[in-house]
Amino acid sequence: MSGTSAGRAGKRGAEKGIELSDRYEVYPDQPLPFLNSPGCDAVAALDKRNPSLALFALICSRELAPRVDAVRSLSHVESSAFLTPRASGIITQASDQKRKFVIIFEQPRGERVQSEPSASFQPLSEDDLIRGVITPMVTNLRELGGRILAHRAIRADNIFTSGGSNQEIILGECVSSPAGYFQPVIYEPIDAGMSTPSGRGPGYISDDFYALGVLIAVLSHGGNPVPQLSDQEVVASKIAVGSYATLVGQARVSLKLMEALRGLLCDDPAERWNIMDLDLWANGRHLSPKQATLSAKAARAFEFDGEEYNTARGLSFAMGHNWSLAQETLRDDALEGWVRRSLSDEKCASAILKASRMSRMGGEGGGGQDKAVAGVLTALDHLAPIRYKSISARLDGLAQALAIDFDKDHVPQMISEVVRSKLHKSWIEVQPSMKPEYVPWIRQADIIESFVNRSRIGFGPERALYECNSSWPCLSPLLKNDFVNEGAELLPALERLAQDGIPDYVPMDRHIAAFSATRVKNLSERLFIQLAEPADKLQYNVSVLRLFSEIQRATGPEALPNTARWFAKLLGPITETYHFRSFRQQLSKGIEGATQSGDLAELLWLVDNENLRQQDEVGFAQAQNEFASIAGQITWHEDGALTSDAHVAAISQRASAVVSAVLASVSIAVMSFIYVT
Amino acid sequence: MATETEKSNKMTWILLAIPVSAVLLPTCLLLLVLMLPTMVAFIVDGTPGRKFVITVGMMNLAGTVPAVVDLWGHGQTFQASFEGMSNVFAWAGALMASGVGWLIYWVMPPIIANYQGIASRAQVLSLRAKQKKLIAAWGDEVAAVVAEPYRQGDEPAEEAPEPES
Repeated sequence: MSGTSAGRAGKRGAEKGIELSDRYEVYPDQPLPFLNSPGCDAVAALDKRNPSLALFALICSRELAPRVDAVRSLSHVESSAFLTPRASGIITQASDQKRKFVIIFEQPRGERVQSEPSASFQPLSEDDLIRGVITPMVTNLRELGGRILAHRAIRADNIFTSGGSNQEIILGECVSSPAGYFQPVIYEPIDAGMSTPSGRGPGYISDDFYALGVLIAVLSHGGNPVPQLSDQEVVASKIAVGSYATLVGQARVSLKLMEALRGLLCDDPAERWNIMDLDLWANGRHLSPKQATLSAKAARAFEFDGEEYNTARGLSFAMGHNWSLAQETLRDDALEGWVRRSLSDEKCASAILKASRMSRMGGEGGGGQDKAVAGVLTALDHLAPIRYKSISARLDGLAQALAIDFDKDHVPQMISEVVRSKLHKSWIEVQPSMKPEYVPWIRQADIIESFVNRSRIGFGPERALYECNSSWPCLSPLLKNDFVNEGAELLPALERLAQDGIPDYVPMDRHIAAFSATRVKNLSERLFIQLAEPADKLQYNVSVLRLFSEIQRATGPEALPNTARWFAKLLGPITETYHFRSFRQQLSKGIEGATQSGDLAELLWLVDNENLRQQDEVGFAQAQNEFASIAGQITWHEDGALTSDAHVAAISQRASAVVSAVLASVSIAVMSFIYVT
Repeated sequence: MATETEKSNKMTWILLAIPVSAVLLPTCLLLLVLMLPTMVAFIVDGTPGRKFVITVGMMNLAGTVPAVVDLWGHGQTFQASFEGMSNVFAWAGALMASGVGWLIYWVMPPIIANYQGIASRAQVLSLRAKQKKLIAAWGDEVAAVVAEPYRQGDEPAEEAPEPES
């Protein structure tokens, strides 16, 4: 046993903790390194209602996101042999102002059984194993099975002693990182071990039973039974001689334990022990030990990369690790001939022949060659995961691989090629039987295919990521300091981003669009079409605002003054697009008012007011006409239309006649008056 | 070319003038002689509407009024008519009044020319002020329609009032 509990209780009370869910406090400045999980730091935590309870919090990362759905599901588990999540939520670390997802657990009283995966320890006796490990694990697996949830982190360095006189172990947490991601290869069944860690997927409960078998082997051995083997060699050995022979081998194991180990380490998931078998065994019923089901051996070996292979599975595994050489191997019919003659597998040989021809027709460097290699590898080993170039993922792990490795070069592209080439369907076709558990994963692959085929913003691999990983946080670089895994959290996160100063960029990228399309209900597709087809930069900004106002309407909060200020800054120039200065002033005042109220819909109404725009256009056209008319009049005057000789003469003549007539009339009237009087 | 209606109207006037002339013959003879300047104007006037004839004729007519009144005071006899024709004061009145008519006609063009010049400039200033108001309300772009855009400050006439909102 190893580990330390020094400073376990922490120094709470000295500093103020960060509040979580009104009940807990988290102390990021009080690390508890002996409780760290891979990829997550453990810190002290406090239950304000029960301060005497020793708690710890795991601070999760955004890139290797926690299993939020599993947290919810497992928080109701009532088992003393399981580290149950008590609470979870997001805190803001004072040191770097980053918002992190934390999960609070009760501190186990004992130590880790194995301090690290490579550490050695005192082997457990058969009695200790059965009473202290297997019995509580049966309870745990029953609880997990009831929730149709695989733990995927059953390993010696993730179990704790219960402390005191009780020798029962406590199973560690499994929710702080993606399922199976940090599981050492020896704990994984052959197909999961062949997968990249990101492509192992959530897995099945049978994976947990396999891991329990490995755990028993490790605990009875006092450490890794095969420390001399690399991960690749472990998988190759499991393929060649079976998991039991690889991990237990010639070690002295009692018949009772051997029975359980053979059942749990069975490489065929259908034959592997389940909870009923384990229950029967624990209650003293003896079941006949399972014999390893090994691949058919060829009459003669096939040479690949300087090594000789006697089984199709072994060759497939080796070819998967040397893609370019595998492509070369398909250029002749040697492989097809070996399978047909030495393995007598006509079906596989026909599949290889078909793929080889396709590869040759595809020419050098064509995508057809990669597809052909993937097809051949699946034909040689139908139990292996889907392999395509550097991708190796189980059917249920495609979506998780997309999420974990999204930022890695070409991974989204390669997964897109996998689903476009329908390699997942080819994989299903070569399985001996269609299992019900495949159905959701086939549907998931279809979803990936449907979205990667649409490249515009709001769709593409990003959309597939969020559609198929329901609690994965938004991976937008804009939100790198935040943890946003729900639609309602998106706008508050952007609000916080703008709190310390309005950025110059638009708060939109492919991740935010895809995330909002997935996590905010009832958003119209039209909003994303408008985002993809902006007439200009301003129009794009208006489209972003339109989307965000819809999100605000759907999820709140009612006031987003900083986000509104952000958009007001981005859309400020839109007032300049109005001709009428009065409209500009009204608009500026309106934008200022909407900014203060933080109502994005009001802001949108102002900057996207078609009626006002039309009034402005009509009025401007009229003003232009009027201006042109006045300019014409000025020109007429300046050209001397009124002062020309002809005009002056005409006016003068008329004026003379009038003046003369008036003068004559007056004279006559005066004279008449004089003569009469 | 005179139309049939115009010809008919003229004929009506001539038919009416004949009895009147017969009754007022001494007066008519006197007027015929004293209106000689108007006849000269009629001969030299080539303007449309014969505004020169009207100008001179109106004043000439006013100048003959004392002679006609004097004739009527003597019973409108031929003798009194002939005396009027030979009266130097009657001639002086008719000729001087005609001269005033001539003067009006010749003085009017420079006056009108000056007036039109001033009016035209005032009109241009008013129009430019209107343009400035339009520019203030709608921006420089509103002037883009004209070949030589008028820009604020080119030739400000006066401060343009604020546009109505």
